[in-house]
Amino acid sequence: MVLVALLLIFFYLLYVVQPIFESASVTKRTDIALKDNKTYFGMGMEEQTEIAYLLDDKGLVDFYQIKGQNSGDKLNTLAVDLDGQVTSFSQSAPFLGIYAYGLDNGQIQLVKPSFLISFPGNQRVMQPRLSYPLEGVQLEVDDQGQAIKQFAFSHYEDKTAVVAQTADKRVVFASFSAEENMFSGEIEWTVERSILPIEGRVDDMLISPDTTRVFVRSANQVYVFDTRFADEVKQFQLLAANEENANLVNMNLLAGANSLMLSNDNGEVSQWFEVNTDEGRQFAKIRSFESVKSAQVDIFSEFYRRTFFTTTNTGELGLYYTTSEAHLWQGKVVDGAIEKFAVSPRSNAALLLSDNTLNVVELHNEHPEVTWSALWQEVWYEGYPEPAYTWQSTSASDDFESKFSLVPISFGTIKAAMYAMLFAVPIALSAAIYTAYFMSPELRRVVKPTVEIMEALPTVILGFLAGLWLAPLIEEHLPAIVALLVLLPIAIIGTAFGWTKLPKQIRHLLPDGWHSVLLIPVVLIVGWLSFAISDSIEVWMFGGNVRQYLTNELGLTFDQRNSLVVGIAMGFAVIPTIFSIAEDAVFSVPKHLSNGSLALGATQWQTLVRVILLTASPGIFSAVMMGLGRAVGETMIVLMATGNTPIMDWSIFQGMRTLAANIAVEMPESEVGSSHYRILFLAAFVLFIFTFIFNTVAEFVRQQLREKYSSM
Amino acid sequence: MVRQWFKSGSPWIWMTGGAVSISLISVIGLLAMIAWKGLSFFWPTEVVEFELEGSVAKQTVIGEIYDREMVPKARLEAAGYDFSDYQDEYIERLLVKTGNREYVELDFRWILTTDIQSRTVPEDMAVFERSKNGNFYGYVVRVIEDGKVVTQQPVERLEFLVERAVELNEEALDLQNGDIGHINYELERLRLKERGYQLDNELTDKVKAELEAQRAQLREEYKVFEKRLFELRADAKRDYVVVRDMRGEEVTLPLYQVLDVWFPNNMGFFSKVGHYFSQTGKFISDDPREANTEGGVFPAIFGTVFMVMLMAVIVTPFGVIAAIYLHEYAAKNAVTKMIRIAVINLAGVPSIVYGVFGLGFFVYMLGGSIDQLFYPEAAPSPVFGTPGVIWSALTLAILTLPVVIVSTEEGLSRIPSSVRHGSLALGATKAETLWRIIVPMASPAIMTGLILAVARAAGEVAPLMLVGVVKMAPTLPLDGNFPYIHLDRKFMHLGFHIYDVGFQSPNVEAARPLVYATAFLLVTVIIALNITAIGIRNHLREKFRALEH
Amino acid sequence: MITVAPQVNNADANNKLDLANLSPEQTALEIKDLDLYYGDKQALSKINMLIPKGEVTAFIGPSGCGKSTLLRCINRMNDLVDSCRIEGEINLQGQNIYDKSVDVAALRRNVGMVFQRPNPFPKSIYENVVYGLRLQGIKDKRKLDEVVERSLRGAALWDEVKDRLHDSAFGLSGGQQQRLVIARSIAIEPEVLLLDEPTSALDPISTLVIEELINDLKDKYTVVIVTHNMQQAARVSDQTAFMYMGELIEYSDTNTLFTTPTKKKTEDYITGRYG
Repeated sequence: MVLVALLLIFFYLLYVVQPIFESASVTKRTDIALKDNKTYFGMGMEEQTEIAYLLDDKGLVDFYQIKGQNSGDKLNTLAVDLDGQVTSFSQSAPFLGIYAYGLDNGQIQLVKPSFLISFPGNQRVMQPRLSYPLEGVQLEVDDQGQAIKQFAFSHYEDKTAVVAQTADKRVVFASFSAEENMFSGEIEWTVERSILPIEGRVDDMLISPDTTRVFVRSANQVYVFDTRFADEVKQFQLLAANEENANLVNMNLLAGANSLMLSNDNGEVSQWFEVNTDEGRQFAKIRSFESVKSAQVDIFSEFYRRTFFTTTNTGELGLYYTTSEAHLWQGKVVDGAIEKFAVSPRSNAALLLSDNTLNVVELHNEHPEVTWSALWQEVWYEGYPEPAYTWQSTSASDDFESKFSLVPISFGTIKAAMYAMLFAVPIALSAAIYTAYFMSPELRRVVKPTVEIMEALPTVILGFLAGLWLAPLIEEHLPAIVALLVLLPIAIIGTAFGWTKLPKQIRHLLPDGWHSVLLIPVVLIVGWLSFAISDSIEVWMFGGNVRQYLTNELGLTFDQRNSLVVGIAMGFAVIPTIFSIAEDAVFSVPKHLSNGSLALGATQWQTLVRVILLTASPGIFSAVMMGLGRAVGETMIVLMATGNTPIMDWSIFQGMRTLAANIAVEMPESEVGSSHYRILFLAAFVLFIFTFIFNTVAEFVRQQLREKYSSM
Repeated sequence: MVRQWFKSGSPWIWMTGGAVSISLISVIGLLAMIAWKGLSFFWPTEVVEFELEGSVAKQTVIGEIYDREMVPKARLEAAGYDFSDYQDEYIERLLVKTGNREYVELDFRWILTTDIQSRTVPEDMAVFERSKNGNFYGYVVRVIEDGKVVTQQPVERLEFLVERAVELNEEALDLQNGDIGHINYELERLRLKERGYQLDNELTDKVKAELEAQRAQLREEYKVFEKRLFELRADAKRDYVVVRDMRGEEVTLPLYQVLDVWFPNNMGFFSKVGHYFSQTGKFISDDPREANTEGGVFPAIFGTVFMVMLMAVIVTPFGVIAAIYLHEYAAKNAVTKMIRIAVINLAGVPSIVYGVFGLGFFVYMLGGSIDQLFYPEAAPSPVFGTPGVIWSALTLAILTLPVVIVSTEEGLSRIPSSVRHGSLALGATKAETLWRIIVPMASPAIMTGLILAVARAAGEVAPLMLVGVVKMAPTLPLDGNFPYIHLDRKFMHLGFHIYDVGFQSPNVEAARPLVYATAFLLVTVIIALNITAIGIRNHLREKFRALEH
Repeated sequence: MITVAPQVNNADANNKLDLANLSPEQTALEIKDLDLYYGDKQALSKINMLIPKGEVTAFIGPSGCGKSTLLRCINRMNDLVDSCRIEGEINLQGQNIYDKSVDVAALRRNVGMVFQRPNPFPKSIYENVVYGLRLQGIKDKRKLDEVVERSLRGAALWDEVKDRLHDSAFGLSGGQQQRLVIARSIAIEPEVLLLDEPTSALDPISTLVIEELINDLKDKYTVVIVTHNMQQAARVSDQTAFMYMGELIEYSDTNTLFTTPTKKKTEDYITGRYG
């Protein structure tokens, strides 16, 4: 039953974790021969991946059923309202789902295929429609009325921006913004136009969804414009962006629009984003991916995640994830060239147009962001000046780049455990040795259960005291803690020495093995003294304020809830564990061993060090392991006694975030089945394995020791 | 001499002895501190009136002294105060709880002793405990009963009127939670029933009409109760008291917001004791108020006890059967050895891992399946597919399984084999021997294991945060609505209450004494349970030792 | 060290049984070619003997000779030892008790056993005695009372405990506890009663009482007793079997065995050369 429970936990955790390490796959769903032989400019599909739509060169939108028994049926054809002849076409960032036709009169028309869902007779029916995001507004991009040859646009909140090349080769940037008139309540449109200075031909144009950046590719150069202020468009940077011995063939923006992806004709795809440099924020090449060497590599991005796709004119499809630098999948899906590509909103299917056939493929790519290297190695995240270990799992926006490095929280776990052990091991082991070997039996009968009862004390109470009582106390009286560390040993040894000087009659009043009782008042007085002189030390040595001194003179940041607090509180929690096991180990060393040593004239202490500890050392080791296991998995104390910031810093005056606390903080908010959820399970799994190893080793050592003792 | 003394090693012996002293002091000091801070909270402290002038403008401050500390003069001077007149290096300052939260900026403030011009303890100072905005301190100016000013013995009358308002409020609350809550519950059940019929395509007009009739009846009942509720509320709102606060202004307090009134400066020792116990009683039996920072912890106590009992019911049979199997039936081979190591490991797995497992396996997998099978009508809102008391109990049952197993096994191994043989020799089968002799003899050990398990479960918080505990549960998992025990409900827990109030509440300073009191309650229960368990175990050991000779 | 041959109980000396050729009516137990192994180690080899009905048979021999093991074979208590393997037969009323069809619990009801140390259950005296009956589902209070009195009288304990039947059995002295265990065993009226060194944990006075009790018991039951105390064997038994290193060396009526042993080993043992 227990084994079943343990195995169940093990395999269940594994079962939840396992999908994140599954590789992506692409399977073919269906091929649909299109009914009409015409040129299509763009396509897409709705969320359920049941209906696809294709936009043709005349402004007609064909809807095809691509799932179920009617798959392949053409459902409907709708015409886009157009005021002129179509001269060009463009589509927005995938998540906006908007398409636009450029017209010969210098205008563009935005259109968004949408679906009216109804449930007649408990059956879901989808009715295709066309909607116009800017109903009734004429987007006159070129005020000279020239035909639009090529353009890019974005429609974001109340702002629409277009960058276009007109028939007479001008590159126009136009920004349309709506504002409600305060008095009349009417919507007023303001248009700002400017001409972008481009030398040479224009190959590609892009505009970031939030309309703040415009990218224009001219051969192997990419112009970047800052378009935050429509009346003041500035050239931001000019990138010579091709790879060595290669030419650029295409470019696109990654979801989140921070990264620019550029493909070269040698098959390399490079990722660029802005980083802080000495000259302010600049685009820089971050990493590159190998694709198939092909004359034409096109790049497409997903709706929200950092996945991108490459298609070639040889029918190859590639899947990549930038953050984890993963090449997820590569394969030939059609025989001819892939002319158009579109991915579904949930990234679970894609459309490929090739040779007048619509190929529908299903994508299985649940957790591209998690790879071994993304979890455990430095990753260069978007906007970061350099590769880093970062844990930042969630944010308000959907297209946030999740940062799932387990390194900082594992580091925090080790740091917390280490400080706790630093505090606990000396005290617990010394106390265990004294209790087991020197203490009088009557006293031992009281002391042992008293210390052990601490093990039952809920950690939430220790955490609460650490956070609300100890942390402010230490902050106020930092010198007292240091003084205590120095004064306590001195005072104990001083007392001991003083005791030997006392007359015999007094000394005999205290039986052997009662030293601890005598020392209680000493410890109390020293403790009181340390706190009493704390303020004076502060005034005398640190100018009245230790925290300021630390920050200004030593450059250390001081968190109120820091590792020192955690170390003491968690040390306190593991003392009983270590004490109890170590005490047992020392106490059960057979008496004839120590008697033998004593009979040879060794002192008590020599016997202890040379015989008892040597014999009991496996037990002591096992005690420390058990304590470590407990410290690693402890949740509440860390949660309450630190600031839970996932930083990597050994400083004793700063906090940390541990695996366990991280789970406690984030688990309730993570979406079931998401990568985040599974990574938290992975964290739990790591903890499980950690403690499993510690406990198994400790238990194994203990059993060996028991056999050894019984044979003595 | 000194060197020789060092060589003998006896300083190190003293050092190890010192470690014991440190451990003991921390253990006992910790418990004593929790006890002191937790228990002193309910003692009526005197309310002091200070006249201040100096670093602050001339003003009166009324409140309870909460804390005092010495501040180096240098630090205050750095903050921009001028203390050139004072010789001392340190200046004492007091933390005063001024209450009257809605009228002053902060209900806790530090005052420097150097600013205090005068300090009095007025006998007629009143403390009002209110259902909103915390305590109020001030002088009673007049009492208004039903629109008329009370002239004769206003103070006695005030106490009577407060009691009356409290009773009316309680009655209204009972009505709201009891009868009206019941009607709401029934209405929700009808809705689910209707949805169930709809899903089965059995929702005929007849059924609809029937449901509608039931609904109408419930609404009728509701109207009656609602009317009564409004009457009670209106009645409770009848009286007022006018109080002069520390700003010198007169404030009208409606009595329906006042829970208690006392005059701490005018109390004798015995009335203080009485007040102390009544406050403690309220703490244990009342619901929390104002985001848990005031009032009692009854739902948390109830939730903890309920969950722990549920857990005990689950863990006992499993643990005992597992231990009996391990000790009596399992062959001594590698598998058994593995099982034993598994037991130790199970005890060592961090509790948060159990929480993660419980959330994934019990809540989402098991609970989700139960919802799909039995509660399709409630979709999309989950019934069992969401954290709840049953899942918490199950998770903690796995967590405490090793405790029960280890303890039971120890009990079993202490039973001399001669007793077993005696029973077998009388023709009892193995099962009969187990059932009639071994299990009864091991029952104190099982009890010990169970108590230890309960103590462990009562203090465990981390896994519960994932599988069912909430900061404020509107309903208890046990109430008067069919089926009476609601295993799917979320619940409150003392340990989580400490975490939540101590760390998540907006006014930590005000809530802190309450947290200490809660912590004290929890510690007392857990330590008492542990001591009982240890006592039983020791008694058992003695008993069996006698049996062996 | 005992060097003098012990006094022998001569009461039944004249009606000696021919132990090699007992008639089925006279036989309580027949042990046939019995081998017993603990793992690889052989603990009993080729034991053959007939135990007569209504008499006291004693097994003697030095420690580890297998006498207790043999005794425990008779009610299959050795089944509780995992590594134990048995070959051969033991016939009780013509039925091999190691036959697969035998119900072990029923066998043990027929063959009661009393151990070295008194092992009362942590129950009252009364409940200890009726334990076996309760197992059989007997609930009739009158019947139980009757059995309690009869068994306690049979075990010579009635007069000492009749006023405190419902007190804990742990309150009795060691000798009383052992007699209680005997009473518990005879309450279910077995045919054979096995006593495994029943007095080894008791003081001399208690021992004497138990020995007297054994003498009385043989009127009703076949008694087999293991003892390492030769005087005791001589005092209480009618037949004695001497065992050595897992083998049955000599088996004859007690008188003969102690006065004119036929084997050298037996003589060495009873004259105290080893043991």
